[in-house]
Amino acid sequence: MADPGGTAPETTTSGGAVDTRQVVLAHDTLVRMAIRRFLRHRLAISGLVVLGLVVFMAVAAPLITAYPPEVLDLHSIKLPPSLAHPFGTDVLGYDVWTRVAFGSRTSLTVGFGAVAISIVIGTLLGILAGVYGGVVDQVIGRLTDTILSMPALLLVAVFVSVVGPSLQSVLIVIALLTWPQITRLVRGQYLTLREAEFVTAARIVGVSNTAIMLRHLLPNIFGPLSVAATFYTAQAILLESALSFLGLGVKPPTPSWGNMVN
Amino acid sequence: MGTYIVRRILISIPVLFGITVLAFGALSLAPGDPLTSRIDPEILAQMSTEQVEAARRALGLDQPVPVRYVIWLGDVVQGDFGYSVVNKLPVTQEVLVRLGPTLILMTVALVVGTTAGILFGIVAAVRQYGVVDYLVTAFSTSFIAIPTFVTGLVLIYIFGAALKILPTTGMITLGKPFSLGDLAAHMVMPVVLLSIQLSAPLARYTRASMLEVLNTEYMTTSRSKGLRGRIVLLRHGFRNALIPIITIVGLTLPDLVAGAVITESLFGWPGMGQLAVKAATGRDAALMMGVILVVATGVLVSNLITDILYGVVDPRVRLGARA
Repeated sequence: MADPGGTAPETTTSGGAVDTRQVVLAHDTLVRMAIRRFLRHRLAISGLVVLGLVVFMAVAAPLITAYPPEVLDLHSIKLPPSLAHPFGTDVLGYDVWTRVAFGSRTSLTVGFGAVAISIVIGTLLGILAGVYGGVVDQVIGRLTDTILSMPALLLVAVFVSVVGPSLQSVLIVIALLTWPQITRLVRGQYLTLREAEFVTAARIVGVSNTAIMLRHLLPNIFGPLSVAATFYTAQAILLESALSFLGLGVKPPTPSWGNMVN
Repeated sequence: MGTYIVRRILISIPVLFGITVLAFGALSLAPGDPLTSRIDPEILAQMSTEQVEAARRALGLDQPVPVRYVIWLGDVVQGDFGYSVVNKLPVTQEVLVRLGPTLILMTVALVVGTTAGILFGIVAAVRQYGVVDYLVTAFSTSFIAIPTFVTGLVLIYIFGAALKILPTTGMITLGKPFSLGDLAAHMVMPVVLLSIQLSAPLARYTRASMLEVLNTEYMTTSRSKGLRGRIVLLRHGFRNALIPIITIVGLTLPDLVAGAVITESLFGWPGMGQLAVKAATGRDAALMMGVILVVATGVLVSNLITDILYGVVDPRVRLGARA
């Protein structure tokens, strides 16, 4: 298309081509563009399929299993896989497939729940630290430093040993120890964005500080925040399974992938 | 360099205080009377009200939390960490016995893990999109996703239960005279497990860091000067790639401690990690505080070493105004 000796008529045609493309683009919403880009990415699709299967397993757990998850059958312990028990049964007579299916509920609840809570706390404190600076920033900064310098597993073990191991306590404790990482991220983003020109422009127009914070700055950190959220969801799921494995997390008979491995 | 180190030390002291305050506060929030978790319920039932009060005073439990924290801190400064309630032993003694095994395990795992991670990372970067690169990426991604204890159980199953070539629990074979070979055999699986956990993310970061350096102009310059490939790669390339790598190693050290908690419980290794689990399941506050303090100190010291290593590797840190 790029002809070095291009003449006037050719320029018009190429200009016309650009125009049609812009028309096509205008019909596409941002969401549809994102979906199309996503569908072209093979790794992303395979990730979606795996996640979809796990979510399906969690939602449909009672439909795809034949036994109640918390009832053990002492007449059928340590059975090899069979048609009645696709994954076999364990030493207590639990059907393993049932426990795996219901265990995905535990993992997903802790993963998504903990991250949802920590994003709310983390974003709020991150905004406060990034916008106000000074003493507020110092206090929040030292608190995040302190929590982040300790191995999370150990701190979680301390808190869980206080409130007693259960699904709720594990979820809340993981949330209370994950927010510092989010706070750091949000604070950093706010510090760079604070100097951006659109913020100055909004200020000139007379937008209030709170409105700038929430309506102009917050949407701009959704990108890094969502990346971080997926990462910390994975981390929370691993942490829960490690805790349950050590006997400090979700207690039997509630099924969890961690306490099943134990 | 001297002021740089002193400043780093001064920064880490308030963090250490913060951790103890946080942990102490949390542990004192435990519901119920702390006395009941410290005295055998049968004995407690037979004690008169005055005896219960006396026991509470003797344990310092009648004071408010901040006062109890100051008492605890004063004792710690004098080397007294209190008594483990579960075992009736001084916490200092319990911790000291466990420190050695953990340090041996962590040091060996740190050396093996960083060496393996960096080596695989460099090879993957140099042979980008080659077979080795894909293998390294596949393995490191899998090991990041698979929980430590699952990998550990698979190791135990293969080498301990099926092949029966490696011992699965403890540090030495009980009842046998101590020998280095015996210790080494017991160490193989815990070290491999911890090293995998350390080297998997490290290989990925090293690869990324090396790729970035490999595309710089000074690499082209040194190659066009006629320097040999290996010298270009290691002395010009790797040295510059090393700075982010040190950061990553420093950042993953707390994770390594957490990994040690799982690894030690899995292999019955008599170290700090196992002690932490014991303290948490037994709701043993004094023991928990002792473990936390030692681990926190360890993490902060290794952060300090990381900071000093920056200065060694990068002259800009050593000489720069920001030092």
